[in-house]
Parts: sequence; structure tokens; C-alpha cells
Amino acid sequence: MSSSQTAWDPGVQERALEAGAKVRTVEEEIGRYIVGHGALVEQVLVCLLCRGHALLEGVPGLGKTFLIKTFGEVLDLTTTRIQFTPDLMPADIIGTNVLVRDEEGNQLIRFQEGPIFSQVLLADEINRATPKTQSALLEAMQEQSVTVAGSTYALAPPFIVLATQNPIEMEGTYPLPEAQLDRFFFKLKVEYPSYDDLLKIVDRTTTGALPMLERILGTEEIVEYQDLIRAVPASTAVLDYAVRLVYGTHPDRDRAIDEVKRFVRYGSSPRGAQSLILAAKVYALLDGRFTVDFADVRRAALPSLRHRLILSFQGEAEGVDPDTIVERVMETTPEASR
Amino acid sequence: MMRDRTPRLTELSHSLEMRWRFLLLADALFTALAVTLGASLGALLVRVAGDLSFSILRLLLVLNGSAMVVAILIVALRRRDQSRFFIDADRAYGFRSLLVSGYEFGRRGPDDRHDESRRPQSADRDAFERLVVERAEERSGDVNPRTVYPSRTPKSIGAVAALVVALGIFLTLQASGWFERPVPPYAEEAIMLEDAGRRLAERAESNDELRELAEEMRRLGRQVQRNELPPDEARRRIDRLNERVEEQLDDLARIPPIEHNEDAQIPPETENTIRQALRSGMSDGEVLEFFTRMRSQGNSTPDAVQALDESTSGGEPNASVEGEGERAQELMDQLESRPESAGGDDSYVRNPLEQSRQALQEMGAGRRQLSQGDTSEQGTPGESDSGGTRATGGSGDSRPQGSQSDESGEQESSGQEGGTLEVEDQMSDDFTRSRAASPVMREIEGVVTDDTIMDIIIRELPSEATSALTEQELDVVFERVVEEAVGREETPPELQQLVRNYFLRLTRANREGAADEQ
Repeated sequence: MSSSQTAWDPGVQERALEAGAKVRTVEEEIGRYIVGHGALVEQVLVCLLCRGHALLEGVPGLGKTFLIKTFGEVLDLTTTRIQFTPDLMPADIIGTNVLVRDEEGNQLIRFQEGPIFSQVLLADEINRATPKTQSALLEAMQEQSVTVAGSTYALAPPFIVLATQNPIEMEGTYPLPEAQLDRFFFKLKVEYPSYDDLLKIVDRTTTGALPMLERILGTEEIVEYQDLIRAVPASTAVLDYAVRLVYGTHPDRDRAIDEVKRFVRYGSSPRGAQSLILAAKVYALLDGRFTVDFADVRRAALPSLRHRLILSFQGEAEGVDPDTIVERVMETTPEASR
Repeated sequence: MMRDRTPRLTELSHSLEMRWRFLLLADALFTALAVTLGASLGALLVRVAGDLSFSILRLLLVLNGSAMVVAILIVALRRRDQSRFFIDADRAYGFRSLLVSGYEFGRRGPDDRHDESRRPQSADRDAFERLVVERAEERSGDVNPRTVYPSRTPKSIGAVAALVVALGIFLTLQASGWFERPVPPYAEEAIMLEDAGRRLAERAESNDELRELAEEMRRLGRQVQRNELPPDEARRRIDRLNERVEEQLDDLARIPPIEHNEDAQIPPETENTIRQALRSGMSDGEVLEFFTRMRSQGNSTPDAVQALDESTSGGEPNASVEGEGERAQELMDQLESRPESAGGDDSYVRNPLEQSRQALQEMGAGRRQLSQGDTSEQGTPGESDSGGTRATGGSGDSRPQGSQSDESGEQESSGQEGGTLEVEDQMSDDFTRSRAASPVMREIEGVVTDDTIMDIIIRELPSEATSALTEQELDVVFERVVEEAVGREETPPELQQLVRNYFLRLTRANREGAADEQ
């Protein structure tokens, strides 16, 4: 009997379906609290299941912070919030060694954990901190650990950074460097609610107490689902499609479309392709499928690639929206390679 | 041997590929048809514009056959990854990449699965893949290749339809004579002129003046046939050529006829020379021809004997041939009995000159008529049979002026017939004269394919008493030669009938001449 045959686990189907159902329940629960951000909630959950981080961009007052706080509550995860300001220091986030006395009066140096030691970190208005402070998040986001004075401290899984930034109020801000941006799994745009949604928001928030939230998922389940997601297979054709999409954003490629050549200086990094496939796997599982489809990849393309394109001077000058370019790349990239 | 875990998917991939190739072939064949029709239309336009002659049906067959073969080869050699068929099927049935994934996972061996990342594959992943393969096998039974690749109108059908319509219009217009060029004025006479030039060139031998004149006759004849000359230049060259022909005929007329007397008798040593020529392989006709030609060029019989001696004495003498004495005597008798042989025969070069003069005068008369604005009488080739191009009508003006042919006693043209008929009469004279002078031509079939068959037939027509062929048989041979010549010469389509009529008229003239003799 081959090793593959011994690995056969007929219960995976039930676990996969259960995971999908649970995640849908989380979405519904958050939906009871947050009005009109169903897609945004789903995308944040995708980030969580992929062990990624999300950057939420939107004008003030759209409920970004509220959404993230709700998210932490429903998932039964420890949540901290850091308001980023220009005078915020890295130690304010990570923590620092402090001199303390023990019960016997001896002086000791002890590591005082910063707010980053949580499972859901809300980095509010991240672009208001200096690059030095912003980069303090780099190791935590990538390695799920922090290093202080030569000592490395692991962060408790699942660790997810949900950062917000204001796209219009740019004075006194420090745009995130490309390396920092690339570490965000998704960049999500928080849109203004529709008329009907705004009516509901106004009604719910002015008529009384908000409903109590139920905790749907715990840490163990989330980690299990994270492993299950990575086991979802993708065919070579789909992998090939994702890679071609990423290559399509590179202006130096022979087959790059005109918009890419004119407006893009650097295309997406390989993290973009990883993000596409991982997110597509989550979408497949949420739909009750056990293999990835081209449509899943396309669904993940905008949040995965938009912040990984570095526009050229011409693109910046003409105010080109990276979403437009990604959409054009999707239009011109066939599913099957020629 | 690894068991195929995806038998249904494998079968489905074959069905999908067959269907895909079928549609591809249909597209390719229609494209080939469009290309063929386009090329045919282009070729037809070129044929009309360039005055070329080729078979439309053969062109269509060759082009279409080639294009079809190329299309089939392209389709047969086209390769496509199997996964693409499943991608198409997934899309058609909304299976969300189930088939393409199942087919791939099912064909992977255990080693393949573990090799991709050099890490052991998780049990969950293996389980997922098995689930996908099972579902794909299950759903593959629902797939109909016709749904995945539905019948569609070939892309090039619009082009094919447009080209068929265009071709139909073209052929209709062509059948109705829309593209036919008007027959050049006096094409028949121009053909006659060219023919006379060709004959004259063969007979002029070392006479440079005659050869140059013959070349000008042929060139002018061709150019008038193709309507290549502006009217003024044509008129000038016709006049000049006519003058030169007249001069040549006058020169021939000034040569005094040699009377038949004892001095002009064939010398006795001629018989030995004739025997020597017969041993060297010359036919009776060639011997007679040689003497006739020498005389026509003003050489005396002794000169001819000497020339024949020189031409036949180069090699080893052959043994005597059978009946040599009788043949030599017969040839001596013929030479003695023919006053033209004894006295010199200028008809050898006179006939082409008179033929050309006839043609030139026809053209000259027509030109005058043309200059009065009467162009409506120019007919089509088919109409020329009924005299449509006889510009001079029954006018006797077009008759040869000062015809020296009277000297040889041939019958004269009536002068009451049209210009073309006069040509027939002229040709009849030629036949009649040749009949009287020529010996038996035994092997006419042996020279049928020769380019100069026309001239040989005219010159070598035998007397009735000794002919190996009946006149009807000769007509059949002649008509065949005419058909072969018309087909071989790439004559413009609109002139082919004209050329054919011209030569067939010679046959009729031959028959009429024979009847007159009787």
C-alpha cells in the first residue's frame, strides 16, 4: 500500500465543509453588528485564514476601527489597538526591557511586552508614525515574533495586523515604504456605505444598545483551519494562471500590456502570487469546493496586487488607479496558457 | 504498471479533442476555400488584364486541392495540451476547474505528488485530491463534447459567400462578353501578315534584306494583332512595309524568265548527282526541293549539281539504294518536264510576299475606312466567320497589284469577292502551284508535330495520283495540327477562334483548288 493511500482521510470533507460553515457564521455574526461591509469582513477573514495581514484604507468615520474591534470579539482573540502618531516609538509597540525589583528586593531586567503581543493588532492610522516605528512591525508581521536586545519572543498564533490609513489626509503622514506594504496580504478599500446601508447604520446606532456578540471561533479552530486551507490543492493550470497574472504586471515583460508599460515602474513581488493562490484556496473552501478555480484567483487579484504595483512617474502624475491596471491585466490574461 | 485512475476523464479528453479537431478542420477548410476563391478571382482578373490564357476549372482544382491539403495538414499537426479541453469543459458546464484539476491529480503518481516541494504531502491534501478526482470522474459523464464545442459558423463563411458572389458576377460578366476586348482591327490580316513573314523568313536563307523584311512583317503582324501600335505609327509602318514588299516583288518581276530550251536541259551528270543524294538519305522531295530552290535563287542547273555534289560528297559513299535508278530517272524526268524547274521558280519567295502584300493592302484599305470614323464594323472573333472584318467588302481594290503569279499559270482571284476571300484564293494559288511541283509525300504522319508542319504541308502537297493520303485524311490531319498549334501558341482567348478559322479556311481552299484542277 502506498504512502498516499495511507494518508487518505475521508473525514477531511466534513472538516472542510464545517470550516466553511463556521466562517460563514462569523461573517453573519459580524454582519449583525457591522452594516454594509460584508465583502470587507470576508476579505479580513481570508487574511486571517491565510496567516496574512490587512491594510484597510478609507476616509475617517467609515467604521474601520469598529469593524476590527468587532472582529476580535467574535473570534475570541485578544485584541489591542495602537493609535499611530509621529512621536510613537518602536518600543511603544514592541515593548522594552525594564528594571524591576523582585520580592526579595533584587533588581532585575525584565522584558515588558508591548501592545503587539496580542492576536489581533489594530494599527490605527499607521501612516502617521515615522518609518522607523512602522518598520518595527516588519519582523512581527513576517516572522510572527519580535526581537528585543537580542532576545526573540514569539507572538501567539493566530497573529494578524489590521492597519488602517486615511488616503486623503496626507499632511504629516509617512507613506508606508514598499517593503512594508508588501508584507500586507491584502490591501482593502473601505467604501462609503450605500444609501440603504447608511439608513440601517443610523437606525442601529441611535436607537439603543447594540446586540451582544457571540464568540464563534477560538484560537485552536482558527489555527486548524489555517492548516486546512494550505492543504487545498490547486491544479497546475490555475497556478500557471496566477503566475501569468503577476507577470502581467511587470512592465519589462514582452507581453506586458500598454497600460502596464506606461504607468507601472515595478510589478508585483512573488508575495503577490502567493497571496493570490492562498486567498483563492480560502474562497474555494468557503464555496464548498476542494480545488481552486480561475475565478477564485481573479476574486483575490485586486486586494492582493493593488498595493504591490509601484507606479511610474507618469502613473502618479496622471493619478492612475492601480485597480484599473490590475483589471486590465486580468482582462488580457487568458485562463489557459497558449 | 500504474492503473489509470481517471478512465472516464481520459475517454472524455479524447472525445473533446476529436470534436475540437473537427471544428478546427471545418474552419480551416472554409479558410482554404476562401483563399482559393480569392486567388482564383485574382487570377481571373490577371488573366483578363494580362491577356493570358489558362483553364479556370484546372486553376480552381489545383488551388483548391492544394489549399485543402495544407488545411488538413495544419489541423493534423496542431497540438493542444489536454488540460485545455478540460478547462473548456469546466467553463461550459460551470464546474469551476473540477475536471482540469481532477484530470491532473488523477494522472499524478504518488512520487509526483511528493516531489513538487520535496516535503511530504499532508494527509489533508491527499484527501482533497482524491475527493476532486472522484467528483471529476463522476461529473465527466455529464459532459457532452457538442456542448463544450458547439457547432458554429466558420469564421470565414462571410468571406467565402462574398467571394462566391464576386466570382459568380465575374463569370457571368465574362460569359456575356463584358471583359472581352474588341478584336483588334484587321487581326485576321495581321495573322496572315505574320504567317507570311514566318514563311518568308524560312525561305530567305542568306538574303539579309529578305530576312529583315520577314522579321518586320512578323513584328508588325504581332503588334497589330495585339493592338499595340498607335494609329499613326501603324499607318506609317504599314505604308513603309507595303512599299518594301512592292519593291521586292518588282525586283522578282525584273528577273527574266528562263525559256525552256535544249541548253537548259538537265545535264547528264545530274543523274549521278541525284543517285548520290538518294544514297545519302535525301528523299525525292528534298532533291526536287533543292533544285527548285537553287533555281529560284538564279543558279543554273550545273551550279545546283555542283552544290549538291559538294553537300553530299563529304561522307563515305553509301551502297546503292533500292530502285535508285528508277527514282533518279523519274526525278530527272520531273525536272525536265517542269518549265519552272528548268527556268527557275521565284514563287518560293514570291508567295509569302504576295500574301503579305494582300494583308497590308487590306489593312491599308481598312485604315482609310477607319479614319472616316467607321469603327462599328469591327466584329468579334465569332463574327469574323461571316465576314465581319472584311473592311473592303467586295472591292476589287484590295486585289494584289501587278500580280506576278500569273506567270506560273495559277488561277486568279475573281476580284468580285471580299478581301478575305481573296486571301483564300491566294492560298489556293499557292496550293495549286505546290501540287504541280511536288512529288509524293509518303510520311505525312511523321512530320505532324513539327512546328513548320503548316509550311511543309503547303509546299509538299502531293499530286492526286501519287498521294499516300486521301484529301479527307489530310484535312483531318491538318485540323488536328491547327488545334495543336492554337493550343500551343498561347493565343489570346478572343483571337483563338479567329486563328482557327484562318487555318481551317486554308483547308477549304485546298479542297476547292483540287476541285478546280479536276
